Amino acid sequence: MPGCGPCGAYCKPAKQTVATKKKSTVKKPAKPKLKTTKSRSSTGGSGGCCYSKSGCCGSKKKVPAKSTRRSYSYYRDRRNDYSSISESSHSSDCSCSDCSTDGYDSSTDSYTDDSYSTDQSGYLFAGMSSPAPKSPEQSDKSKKYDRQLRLWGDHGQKLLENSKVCLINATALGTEILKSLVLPGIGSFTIVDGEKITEEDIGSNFFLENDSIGLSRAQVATQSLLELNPDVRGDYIDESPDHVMSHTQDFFKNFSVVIATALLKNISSALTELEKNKCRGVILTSTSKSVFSAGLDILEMYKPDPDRTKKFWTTLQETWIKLYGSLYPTVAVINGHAPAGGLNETLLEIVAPHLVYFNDEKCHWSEANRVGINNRSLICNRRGTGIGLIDEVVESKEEGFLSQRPSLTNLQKISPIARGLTKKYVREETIKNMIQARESDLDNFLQFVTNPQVQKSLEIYLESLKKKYLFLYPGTYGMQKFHYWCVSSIGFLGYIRLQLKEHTVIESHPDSENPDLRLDKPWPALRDPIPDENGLKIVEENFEEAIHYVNTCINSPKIPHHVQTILDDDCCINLTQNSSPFWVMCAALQRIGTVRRPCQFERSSITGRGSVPKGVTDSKENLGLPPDVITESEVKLFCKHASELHVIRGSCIADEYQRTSLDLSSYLEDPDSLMFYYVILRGLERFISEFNTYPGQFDDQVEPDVLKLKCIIGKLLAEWSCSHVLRDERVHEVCRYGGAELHSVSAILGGCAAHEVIKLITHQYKPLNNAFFYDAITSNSATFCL
Amino acid sequence: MVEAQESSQKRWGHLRKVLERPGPFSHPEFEPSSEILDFIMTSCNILVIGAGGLGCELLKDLALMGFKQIHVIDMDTIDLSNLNRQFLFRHKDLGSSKSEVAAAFINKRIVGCQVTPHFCKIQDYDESFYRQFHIIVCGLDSIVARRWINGMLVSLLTYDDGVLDQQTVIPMVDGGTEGFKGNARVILPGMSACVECTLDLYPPQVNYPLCTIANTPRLPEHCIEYVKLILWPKENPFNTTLDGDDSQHISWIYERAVERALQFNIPGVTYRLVQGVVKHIIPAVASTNAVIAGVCATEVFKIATSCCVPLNNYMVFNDVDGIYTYTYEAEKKENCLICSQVPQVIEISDPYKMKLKQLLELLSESTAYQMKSPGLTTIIDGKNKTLYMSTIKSIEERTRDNLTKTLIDLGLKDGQDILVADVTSPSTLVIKLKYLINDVEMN
Repeated sequence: MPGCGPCGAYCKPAKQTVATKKKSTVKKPAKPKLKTTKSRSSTGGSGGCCYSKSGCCGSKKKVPAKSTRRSYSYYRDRRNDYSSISESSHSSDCSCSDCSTDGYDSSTDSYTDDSYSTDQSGYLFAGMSSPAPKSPEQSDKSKKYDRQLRLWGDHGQKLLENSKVCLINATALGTEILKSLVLPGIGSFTIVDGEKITEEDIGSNFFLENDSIGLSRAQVATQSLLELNPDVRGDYIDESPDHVMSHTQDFFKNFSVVIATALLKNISSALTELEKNKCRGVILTSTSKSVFSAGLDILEMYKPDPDRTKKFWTTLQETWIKLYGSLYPTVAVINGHAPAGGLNETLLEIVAPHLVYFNDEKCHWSEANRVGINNRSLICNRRGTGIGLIDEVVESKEEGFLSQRPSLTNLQKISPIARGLTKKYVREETIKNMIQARESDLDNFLQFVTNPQVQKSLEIYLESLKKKYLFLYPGTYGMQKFHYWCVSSIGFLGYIRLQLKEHTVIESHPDSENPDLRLDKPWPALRDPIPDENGLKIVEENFEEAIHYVNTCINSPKIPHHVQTILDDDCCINLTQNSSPFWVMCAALQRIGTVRRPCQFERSSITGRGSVPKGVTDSKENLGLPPDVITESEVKLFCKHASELHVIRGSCIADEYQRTSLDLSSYLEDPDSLMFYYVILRGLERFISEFNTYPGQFDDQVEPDVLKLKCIIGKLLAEWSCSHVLRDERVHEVCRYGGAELHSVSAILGGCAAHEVIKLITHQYKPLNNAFFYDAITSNSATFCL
Repeated sequence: MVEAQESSQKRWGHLRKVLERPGPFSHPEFEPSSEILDFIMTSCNILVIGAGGLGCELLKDLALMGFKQIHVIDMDTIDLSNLNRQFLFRHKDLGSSKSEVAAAFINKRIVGCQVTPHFCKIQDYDESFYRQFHIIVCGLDSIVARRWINGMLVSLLTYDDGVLDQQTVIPMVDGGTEGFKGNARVILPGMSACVECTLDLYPPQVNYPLCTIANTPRLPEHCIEYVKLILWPKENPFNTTLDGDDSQHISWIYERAVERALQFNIPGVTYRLVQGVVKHIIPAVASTNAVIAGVCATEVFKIATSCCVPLNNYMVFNDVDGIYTYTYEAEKKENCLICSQVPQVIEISDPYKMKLKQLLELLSESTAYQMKSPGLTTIIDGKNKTLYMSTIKSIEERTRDNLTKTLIDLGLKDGQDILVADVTSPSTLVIKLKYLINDVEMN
């Protein structure tokens, strides 16, 4: 929004309105009343000053005569005027006469809070941002976003507008997700993608134009997406993701969310960045054309330079340790399924990476080594690594990207981190062993990789990679503490898997406000027949409403169970300096919740006269936190929604793979359960890692692939001690897809994933927990907690 | 030429996999072949009704699912509040026709796609227009329009000795969204549940009790409705009917609603809420539209190609708490007003007391009919007689007196056919009166 332009444009019509309004309002006997309200102004939040300028210059001008101008920013739906957000777009040099705020506004405004206090509920909620002079007329932005502001409110929008999203690889699903984030107005996005646009891209990706074949996919997608919303900033980097990440130390510094396909090295550097910066999460995504890899880079093993190889292997080791024990949340989106079974390297008769193997099987490196070097049989390593964006790796042979990795000498730095983490996560043993075994592991690897025979098979394998197998790999299951998304669409099958450490939601139902039925004294009003104009007593219509809400009135007055669980949580009881505002407020609530009348708790009005705020202040002081860590508006929001607090802690995808027995029988026996898709996906993963292609990818291989996949799934089920047999037709159908990505199915999943991301950003509504299957054949879906 | 073909083969490789291979869940009549892709690209005519939130997504999805012969119809122009989700429109397009801008965008972006726009109401076209399509997909925000197109498609059916000629069935895929909720359904007119069969699914509009509005308001909505329903007609401030798009009108209502709220100590009247109540604004986001349109486009693809069995036949979506869907088979109503072959009968308990006005109320308020402004005619002694018609002023004035007459006074007999015309249906419906008292003496 260019400076004062819009502003000036508004002022003119606005003044006209004012004129008319004045006429019409003359008759109104409102003035005296208003005065009363003025005089009642009391605590009034932080006053209306900070947004007054914007509020006034945007629109408010429409406010008619002053007598009727009430900045009634009461927060019934915690949706106050949007002008408070868009203030920055109105330059301070706006010259419209109404811009000189006259104090009147703020005083009327403070009425807001006062009105709350006169309400039985006491301290209700008065607005996210400080009560500002409220303009009845809205800004351009407010109009544009009107239909969504009615859902997540101005404060949700503000969080959205402050978010910065990074998309790595602008594939069809990637751009579909980004589209539904750009339209509602995220702050900015950056696309990192070194791919050139192909024919297949054009056929599936709406944001690439027909004449752009051969151009940078990042550039074209960025331009197309930017057209969607001029309020969103966007840029791109036409480089392979691993090149960017190995050359730009601070790459993730400014992102709140990263949607990425990354190589092992990228993940490592991303994590390093994450730990340095308060990045909300990383979304790792994979595309059907670019191979996603979190592991071994074959090129690094091919014709190795001993020094380089040493560094390479060290990097691998460190990354795994880091992923295994990192503290920071990551959101990952995998486009395509997330193969985690098997390992390409096994095809090459190369030893599976020990670390990876190790993670999987919980054995020691030394044991892994034993399996090791010259073992020519396929080692079915379900963890590990995939083959990276081979083309890009060739481009990025620079020594640099390895040298940036911490070397062996940094071992000491790493182990304390690892140890600290493992205390909590039962990984101590594992990581210690990993670290101890590093040296010998490295030697073994060097020895192995220089073996001529190994080199020969590498060469052959690299040739085969040129076919660009569709190969997707999550590579992040080791990151058990990360927010992690897996989204895939194969044919008519869609899958979303969320892995997160902890996500807290205050407004799990932002619009489910308890209507003000005067709950403290509901009966007289609802019980007594109300005379209509003719004096007849009519009750039926109100009865309906009363019946509808009767539960709210007669519920046994106690703290809801799910909230009590949160209050009993360790995080709530044992606050630390690192506790998030959510937990600090919970702790405050816990203290007062036990003394105050529980029915008031039900009404979400537990603040009383500042008890939670005081509790929060106390907690902050006790913890030595600066007083502004938690704002008043945060506390108000918390109090308003205290009865619907929600905490999600996810399970680790890695754990799924470590389980030796999955109890799926009960699901699989149910013909209506979609759990069989989970088995199919796991089978697909293993298939791809064993054969390096989707089953059914080639027309003449469909039937043989059906048999192979059946065999793999049979083995999987046996490994899980599951006696159930999957119906052949299910296997057949997924082989028929051959990894095809149908745009409309991707659009469905893109929409779902985008909204889940918005939930994470706005901290509103409950994200899915934690695995979602969508069957586009029947349009059925199911959510499982894996 | 060969080169172009090859590149086209490559470009649509994803679709070809599901179209050129057999699958265990495909339609029984599915025969994998490369001709299917040819069919959807060259001869399959699709009509998209609505070029709004769902319509934009639908056009994109269908074009990338291989459809090239697409028509889109929308009477609306582009408004600023559309831009948060209707991604084919830009700021410069404000005020332009939605269908025209959307069609031009798709045709430019997806080479070979031929979207034909129609900037008009669906009611502007007759059956010869609708008959040309293989499948019709709706992204509408109006129940009346849904019912109208549904009625149109049913009217295209032909029956031979009471047996439906399936060649005349034009499948309809219908999507709808509201905030984070949505639904999608497949309708095979005459074969599966139609819009009228499930009319009771549409929630009645929220109407606050007038006594509450007038005397004991508790909610900010009550205050707003008070101004809208009581103050506005009384004061008629701008000497015109209330226009929700006129900011002066909204401001006027806002100011008075605030006043009333103050009087009753009711918090929560905001400008945004006033707008929402007056204009019946339905919240909307890009993501839900993407999901529902994706579901609809997938169904269109399945119906057009038979590569999978279509949705049977109603799907509900909600992603407020996690992601939830529910699919079920909506049942055809045996005596559906529109799609059944059963004559409609209204039972009248006492035609001596029942006034025409009450008959009209029945047609408007019963969940089975939900008509908007039905016009009633009949044939008495071989002559057409208009009983009441509100839509044409001169006729309304001439027939107004009939409202207070009883059915008997009007000369209506047991078994009398009443012809009912309403905006919810493109064709006139016949409703038979059935008197429940045996001996009606007519003089």
